[in-house]
Amino acid sequence: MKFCTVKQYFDDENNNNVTNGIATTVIPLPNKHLKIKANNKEMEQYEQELLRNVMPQELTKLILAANYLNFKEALDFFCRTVANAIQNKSVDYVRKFFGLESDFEPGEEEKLCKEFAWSFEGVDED
Amino acid sequence: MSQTTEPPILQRRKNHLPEDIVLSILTRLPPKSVIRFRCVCKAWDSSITTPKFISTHLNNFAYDNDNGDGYIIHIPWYTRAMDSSKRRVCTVTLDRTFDRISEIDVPFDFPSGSVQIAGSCNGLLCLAYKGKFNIFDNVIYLWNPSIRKFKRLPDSYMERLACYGLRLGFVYDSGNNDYKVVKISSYLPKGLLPFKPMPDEIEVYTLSSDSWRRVGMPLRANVEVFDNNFQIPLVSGALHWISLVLEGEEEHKGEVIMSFDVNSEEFRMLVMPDGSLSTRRSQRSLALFKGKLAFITFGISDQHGYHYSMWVMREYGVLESWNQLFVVPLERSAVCIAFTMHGSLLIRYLNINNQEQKCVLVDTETLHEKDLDIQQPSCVATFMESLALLDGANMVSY
Repeated sequence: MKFCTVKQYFDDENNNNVTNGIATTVIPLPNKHLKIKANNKEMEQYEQELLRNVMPQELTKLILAANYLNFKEALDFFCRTVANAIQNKSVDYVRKFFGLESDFEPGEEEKLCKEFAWSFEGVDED
Repeated sequence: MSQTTEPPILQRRKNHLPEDIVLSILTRLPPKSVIRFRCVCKAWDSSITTPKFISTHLNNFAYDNDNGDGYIIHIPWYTRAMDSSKRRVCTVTLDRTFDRISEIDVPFDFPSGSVQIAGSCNGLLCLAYKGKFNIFDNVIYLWNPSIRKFKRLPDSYMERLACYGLRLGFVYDSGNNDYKVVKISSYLPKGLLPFKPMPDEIEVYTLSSDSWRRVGMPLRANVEVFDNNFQIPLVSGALHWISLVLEGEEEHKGEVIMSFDVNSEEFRMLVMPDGSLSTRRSQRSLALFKGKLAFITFGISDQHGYHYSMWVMREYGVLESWNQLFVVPLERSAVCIAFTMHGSLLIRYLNINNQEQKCVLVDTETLHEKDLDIQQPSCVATFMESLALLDGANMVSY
């Protein structure tokens, strides 16, 4: 039932940018997920492997693929993987990652950063 | 972000995650990261501080815990007089093993005296201060250490002069999306002999109204203020405490379990387990054991020596389902302090007869005891990280 939209997905012109690499990652995921769903250690290892082999930017493509395929478990898993990857990163890193720019008024951002200064402790260097 | 030769619109569409997915990622971050990322842009700042985000974050981050490992937080009851200038420190440990994770400074002052954790809900702690001469004062705080915000509750207006005992319960009323503090005050008997016992007064504080109001009980009763170790348990949406019925047709019942539904604010009575009243015991408490209502006592008997006994109500509300789980002998006098979510029991051996005081964690299945590094009598509660009250009014940030 999870694969009903796969053919549609590949037929859809808009998804030409999806490489085979991504398809081969997302499609075997249901089986892997079902097999090791109960075993959290394995999922953690799989997540580590994923993070090592796949660039963070590629993860966003995986997410879009899972979203399009309506594959909730994969979507949740990838979201969690991205969350783990960015949780200790700086504000600038996260902006670049999501393609965002600061739209605060001058001085507003400084004020916020000052208020939450404690949350900036221990952040990874960019 | 470096620009390629592709037109910006195409590039945006290619890499752009829909807003709901971005928020889904954010709700999976630890609170410290979420707070920092408020500085990313205005849209994130305003989305993060909505009630919907906060509750989704609770589900995705706090409760979606694959390992099932929660946390425990503990704080010493007392600060010694010489240390009273130092702020108290809480320790956070793993629920299962009591391995120390971190220490958190308490950001507000309690004068010397004792502190009690009245409750812990969704990452919010309710701390209360008990004054020097065992007279309760009205100092109660709600505190979320994960987002560094706290709030002192307004004073309630009930007369405090004749109040000799106080119990507090802290709950989240999911029906109204509101936090409530329930205060049960016991008063000294009035007049001359024969003393006429005074019934308890119940007050409820709701965060949404930021005020206290009195709640009438349908009968006169006195809460048994045995100890302030176990938090008043919340089971099936109701707080439960042991009460002595004072008059009326229910008086023959003697001790009952009073239950207070946090949403409807209605009272019910449950019967105590059989055998619970038969022996004199030095500690009798209701507690939450793996999600069920439990009754635990510590006592001494010819048959068992020092021991603690435990009953669990397997099926809520069904009297027959009170099940005496075990009677466990102990080497010496002790106080039962708390259950972990995992179901282990925290016990403090008392320093009587020059025997050292120490805290141990008892696995209720294997009866294995593990020595813990808790030096002083402490309050213990379950704990989690959350964004609770990030959108709260009149909170103090630090």
